[in-house]
Amino acid sequence: MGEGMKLRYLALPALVLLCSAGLAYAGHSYSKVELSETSSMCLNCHDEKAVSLENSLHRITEVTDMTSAIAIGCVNCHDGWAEHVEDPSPENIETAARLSFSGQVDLCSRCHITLHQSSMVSSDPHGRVEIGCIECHSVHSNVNEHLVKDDSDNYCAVCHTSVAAEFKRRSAHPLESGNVRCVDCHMLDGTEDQLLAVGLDWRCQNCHSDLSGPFLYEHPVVYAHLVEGGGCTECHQPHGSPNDRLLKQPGDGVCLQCHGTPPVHRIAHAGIATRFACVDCHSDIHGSFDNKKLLDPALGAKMVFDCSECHVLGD
Amino acid sequence: MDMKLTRIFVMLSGIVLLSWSAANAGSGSAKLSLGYTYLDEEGNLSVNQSTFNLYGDPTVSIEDILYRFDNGLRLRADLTNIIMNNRNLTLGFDKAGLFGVRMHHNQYRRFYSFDGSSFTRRHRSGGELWVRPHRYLKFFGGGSYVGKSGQMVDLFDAASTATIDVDYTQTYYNGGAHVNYEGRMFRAEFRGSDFTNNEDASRNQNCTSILLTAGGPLPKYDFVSVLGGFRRFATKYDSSGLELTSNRGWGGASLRLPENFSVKYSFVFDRTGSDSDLVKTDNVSHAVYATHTWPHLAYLTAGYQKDYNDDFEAQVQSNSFYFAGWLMPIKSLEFRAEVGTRAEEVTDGVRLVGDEDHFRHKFTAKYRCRDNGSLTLGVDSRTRTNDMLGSESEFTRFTGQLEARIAEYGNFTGGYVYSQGDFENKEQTFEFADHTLFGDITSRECHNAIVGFGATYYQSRRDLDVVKSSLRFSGAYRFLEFYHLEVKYSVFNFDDFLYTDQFDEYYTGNIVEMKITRDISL
Repeated sequence: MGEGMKLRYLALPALVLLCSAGLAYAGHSYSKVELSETSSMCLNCHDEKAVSLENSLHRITEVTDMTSAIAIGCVNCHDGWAEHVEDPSPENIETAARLSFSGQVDLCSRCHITLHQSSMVSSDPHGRVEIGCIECHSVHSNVNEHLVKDDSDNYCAVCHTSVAAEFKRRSAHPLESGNVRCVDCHMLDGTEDQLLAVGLDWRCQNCHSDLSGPFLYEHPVVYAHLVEGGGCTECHQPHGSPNDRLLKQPGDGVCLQCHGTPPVHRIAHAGIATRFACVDCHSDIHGSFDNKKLLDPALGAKMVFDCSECHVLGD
Repeated sequence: MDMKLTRIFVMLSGIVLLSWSAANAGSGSAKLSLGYTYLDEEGNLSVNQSTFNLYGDPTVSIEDILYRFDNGLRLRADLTNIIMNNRNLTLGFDKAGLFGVRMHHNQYRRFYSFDGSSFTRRHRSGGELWVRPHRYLKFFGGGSYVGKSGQMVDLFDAASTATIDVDYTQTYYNGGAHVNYEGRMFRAEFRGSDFTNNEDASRNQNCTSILLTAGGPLPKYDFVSVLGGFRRFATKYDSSGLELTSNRGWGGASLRLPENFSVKYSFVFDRTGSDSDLVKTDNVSHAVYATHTWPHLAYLTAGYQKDYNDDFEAQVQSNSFYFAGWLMPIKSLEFRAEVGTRAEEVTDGVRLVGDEDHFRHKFTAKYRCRDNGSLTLGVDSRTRTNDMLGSESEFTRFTGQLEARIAEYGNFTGGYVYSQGDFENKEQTFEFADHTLFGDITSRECHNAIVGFGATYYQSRRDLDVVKSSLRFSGAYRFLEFYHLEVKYSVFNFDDFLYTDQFDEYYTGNIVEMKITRDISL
């Protein structure tokens, strides 16, 4: 069926990409001297703000500093400074907290045009429900990496409380011990759409290459691309599970989601195959180099009799 | 190898700090702590216990190291459990708008057998570097080395004496450039990895990917922003040449319209192929969302997504609908809701799992009191139905969380989550109902002392009978201006009441962690 894919589905996307070519300048920037002068004015009244940025990557650039490629000053972020100097009312100066989602994106994107930042505008679910930059990041009095408000490994739990509770289940990824972080798997780089499930499931492979294949004999579910809950998560609950090894169901349950017990398992050798868990024999469940039925290549040696004496286990 | 890395890390920290201190005046701070962890464990250590990465030994840590030089350079480091096998070390050095370097090393182990004799240990070391030679241009790169070795036991059989040896290493590296020009960006990156299996050389493989991304507002139409990219991914076995490749183009556009309306569109095209068995897949996905915002009052979005999945056996088309919104009738009260559906239909050919329907919804209400905390209540549910397989799975979850801050007494954070799952397969059903209760109380500082108490209780019933709980008592005392004494006593318990043989699944752990910390000015 692969050859039958209609290329017309690509026409519109290609057009959008073509439109993105030939971008032009449409913004405002300050020279280092301008930034320094305006910042000096601000600090006449707000010197505590400079102190709050002292240890941060947003530290106000000294006019004598010739090494930094980017100069930072108060007016980079706070619009309306000229009016504010004339009339120092809090209403006259812009702060991120008063901006809408798109206003915050506009503000931060003056410097931060990253995949993460751009995706907030296009496909990220946070952007879709108007969760702006300052929900997770803060600038003043913050020395955390990426200026996240809290750099603890499970900071996301502040909003995702029910997901955080999954990490307290019987088996769980080691988030609470600090060995993995939410962002190790949930890469907020705009290449995935979590809610409507667009994305190849390569996240698991970052740590579990030994199980990722490709295998000579694949278990197709591992490559169930773009299906909600497909791939690894068809059988595993990645945050935490009431069962061992993050499995969705105990014992044979995960197998029976898609497979029935073959009749021969009930009949042959007095139904011996029904007395074991499926994976006791089909141990190469992620994929096999040995046989199409994903059986343990050493199965014969494990059993009281050698299956391969009568059965061809290979392809 | 690991101790060597630790020494390198500590030496590097010292050398960097001393040399730059000598050359540039500055100021900084750090916390040096010495401690001891006492472990008393009994029962099935297994992979499930929360204490898997604790060791009963003396500990040395230097944490929260922050040194800022007068010229704006900044050093940050966290060296936790330096001399132990659960060490976690990071060291970074940067200057705003110029460059940044970060190195890290950590490791942990997981038990698999009842008595802890079978375990694996994973360690990860690496570093990242970025340099910005010009305000519009940034180069970045990095690499990491991961190793895992040890023994595992068969799944579902903690009592098994048969072990499986694991010994592999992975090397990752990446590099690229990022151009950022007044609201527009272009990024090119190369990533590679090598996997070496020391138990079976035929599993050795390498993986490469190339990623190109561009985006920004359209010229003369800055109410339209576009973002798109391409990625090529290939993984290949060294010995057999068996290869899996994936080419993906993706993009999106966002239109900001008058009256707080906006429209977003995104697409993905992905073609994955392999010369192994049963893999050749095309995917196309289009999604469009329309939104309207009533500033500071409400927000509403509606979306539609169409997916085409075409592989060696079938073509599947999916239609998805999505609705979400929030309402803030008053500033301190917020309601959020999401509903999504997805219907997958096999339009050509046959696939094992046939047609399938998905439905999910989520609703949360949050009350925030600026000075005293917040209360969150939520419910969410996911359902998957497959008539051909005769299977249905359903998850429902109720969540409540309270954060309370009372200046006179201290802080409380606690919550309760009830979740249930029902699986109906053709031959077998499985149900579970989970209760998770957790809470932490921390007192305010009084006579230089803070005390805390925390508890977690997890129970899974119906077709399972599992209880997992922990109690945590902690105390901290500040003395002689620069010193802190911290003591934490934790009790962990785990029982699986369905196992009744000699290897019944139980675990009890009593753990005392003590440390004395000195604040250091640098």
